[in-house]
Amino acid sequence: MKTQESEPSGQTHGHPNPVPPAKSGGRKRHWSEPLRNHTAVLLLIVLVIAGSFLSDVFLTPRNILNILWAVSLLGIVALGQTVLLLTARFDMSVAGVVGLAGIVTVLAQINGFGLYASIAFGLGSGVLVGLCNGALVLATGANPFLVTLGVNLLVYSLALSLTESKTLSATIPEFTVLGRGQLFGFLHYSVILFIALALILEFALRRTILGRTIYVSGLNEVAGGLSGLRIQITKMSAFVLCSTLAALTGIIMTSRTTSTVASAGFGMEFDSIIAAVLGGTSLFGGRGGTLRTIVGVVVLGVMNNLLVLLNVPSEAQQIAKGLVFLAVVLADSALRRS
Amino acid sequence: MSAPPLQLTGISKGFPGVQALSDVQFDLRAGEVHALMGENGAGKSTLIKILCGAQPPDSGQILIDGAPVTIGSPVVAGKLGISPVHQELSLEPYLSIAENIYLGRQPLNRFGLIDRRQMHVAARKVLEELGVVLDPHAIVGRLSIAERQVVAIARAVSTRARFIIFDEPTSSLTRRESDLLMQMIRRLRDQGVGIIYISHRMEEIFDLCDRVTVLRDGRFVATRDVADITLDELVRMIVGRNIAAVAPRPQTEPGQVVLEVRGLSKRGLLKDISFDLHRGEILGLSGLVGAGRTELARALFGDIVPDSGKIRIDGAPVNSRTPRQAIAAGIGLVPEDRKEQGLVLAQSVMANIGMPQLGFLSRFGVIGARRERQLAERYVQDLAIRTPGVDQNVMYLSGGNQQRVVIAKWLATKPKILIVDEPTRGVDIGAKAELHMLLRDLAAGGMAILMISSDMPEVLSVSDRILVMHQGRIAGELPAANATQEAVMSFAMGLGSRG
Repeated sequence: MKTQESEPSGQTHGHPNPVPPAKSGGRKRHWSEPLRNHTAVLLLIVLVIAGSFLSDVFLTPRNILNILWAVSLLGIVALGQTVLLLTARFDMSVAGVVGLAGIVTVLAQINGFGLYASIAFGLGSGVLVGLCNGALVLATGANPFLVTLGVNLLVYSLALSLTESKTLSATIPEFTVLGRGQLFGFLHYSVILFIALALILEFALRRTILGRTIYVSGLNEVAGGLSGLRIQITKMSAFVLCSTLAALTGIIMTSRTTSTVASAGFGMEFDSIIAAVLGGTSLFGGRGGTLRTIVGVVVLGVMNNLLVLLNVPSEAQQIAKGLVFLAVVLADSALRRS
Repeated sequence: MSAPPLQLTGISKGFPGVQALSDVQFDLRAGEVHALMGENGAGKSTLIKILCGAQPPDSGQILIDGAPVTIGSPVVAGKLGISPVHQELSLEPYLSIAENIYLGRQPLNRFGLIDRRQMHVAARKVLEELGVVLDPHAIVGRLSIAERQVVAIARAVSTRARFIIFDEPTSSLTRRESDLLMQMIRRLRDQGVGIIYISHRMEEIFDLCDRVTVLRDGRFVATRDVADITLDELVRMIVGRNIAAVAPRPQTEPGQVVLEVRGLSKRGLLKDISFDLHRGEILGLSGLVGAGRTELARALFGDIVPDSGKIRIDGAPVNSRTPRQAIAAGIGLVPEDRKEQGLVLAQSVMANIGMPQLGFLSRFGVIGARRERQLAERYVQDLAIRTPGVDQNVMYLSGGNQQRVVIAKWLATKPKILIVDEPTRGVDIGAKAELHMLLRDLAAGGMAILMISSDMPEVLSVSDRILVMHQGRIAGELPAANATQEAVMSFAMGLGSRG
């Protein structure tokens, strides 16, 4: 971080030809920015310190890896949700897509398709749902929350009817590598995938035209469109990306358990938004990023892990999650108003 | 000598990147109209916000009748007798006049319910005091802007405010409505109310105000009796330098035709528009609001797809269906509303300047950070944009500087044609003159400029040639050299050529 430079106004103003030097420094952020950046990090530090006192097991490498493994799936969904949130839109259909993609993949295997083809089918189902979401929201201007909530019901019903409400099992043995395989015998592929995707997306958001357009879509799409940015296509891409990452999650989840049900993604629509907002991505678009979402997801994971280690009943775990989420949402809108 | 009823001393207030006020003083007497003047960004609004309890000062003292007070909230301000009449009228459109006047402090009957009869009687009395005839039952949403202003004033008066603040009250009023407002303000003054009056309109200041306080760059410049000061002096105090009132337009030969428009039509908006725009020319586009000027600009820029007609740039036919294609064809548009259409306020100067040509700054879709920075720095320098750096968010810049950022982002695309829609709306007098100079310089450098403006002196002094639109048609064309305000208005009102 560069130090702040004082503004050269005031004195220069009365000068007949006031040309202040354009300096590359002088980066000034809104006062709440560092706070927003660090609430989740602070929360995480507090949780880790508390955890290390409350439980002997908590800070062991094994437990930490467990936490990462546990959150990586929700994490991948949350990354897509984050990108969509940056355009000031949501996707409530990710829960249904997680279930559907797993089922489509397994069904493809049952019907004799190979490993890669079956995965492609699963991902394809996510792309299709994303296209539907995007087309419905963008063509009608309807509220994305409600549209994708409706789509979620349709996707869930479709998944149910495909399975006739039964649990299906994968037929290709190698398929389990995706969900259970580990690098060096301890690092799960899903964790690596989650972190890698977060890094790639963060780079894309910060440094590419697509990323810049995503932020502008959330901040002022009229000005962006009048400056020649491809706003509509970008918003569509965000919907497709979000849905495809949900499908990827569904596939990995199926690979972990080798079996799948339509309700596999239950609750992930809200949890992914909670994780993204917890990390510091604004619900109102234009602020945030996928690196922050890692922190948000890990906070949720650590919290769950601690409550489990402390034998807290699962109802109380939901209460804790609810309270933390409320606190973060209220803080977000308070900061936005200021 | 007794203490003034309202006095502010040593007021300072800083925001990230900007010291909005430093050590400012101000005082208000009973029964005076005190003008508060300064360029946009001079600190007027911040001072008013502090006075109304919307923001706390970093330091300084506010004294009422000599006693220090802390104005922690708008409610406290109201209790102390300070009442603003806002620029953006904050009225409830679905409620009646009386309900708006007494919003939040309606008279109650003995059952604790709102006593509507008493409320209406009281409202009628307040309106009569102001000398206006309005039915207290009327729904505010159906009133004209001027009438709503009256309601806002009535609300202030009904609180028995001792100090009323008017923030650019006449900016959206007609001449006659403004005159009525002036009468009302004089009446309040004669009743002993102290009035703070913010306006950019010089004639109002000299007509109405007793004293004037000038701020510049957040600093106190002076408080003077209006009777002892000339217009030139006042302008100098505000801008801190001499500005040529209207620079004479250099006579230039028109260059070759850059833009040819033939028979452009769009149902309900544009009818058979034909004109040429030359290299190095500023073509003024005048007309009343709703005449189709902005629509013409949007049609040229691909934001409206016309039903018929041809557009040629340098002789080659252009058929833009999106702004993106228009930009590629060499057109830039500085839109009417810079905050909604021109800028992404929450992004940096650099991101805004780079926005129309991210493609050129990028390789394989990855934006070249250094190239983007260099581009922004060059145009910040060229256009003398006052900002601490290219990383500054544009929301912290003044109106004039924000407008320069919009112009900069288009210049960076090296357009052949620049369309500017109301280029100086909402910018102050000094920045306005500078923007005019900038447009002239650009034209002198060969740019073809189409300037839409509702500001008649601006059209007459800045343009080389003037087109006047009326109901979607080009009603007339005038060379600026012998155009008069009357001639332009005559075309604009559909009366045809006169004199």
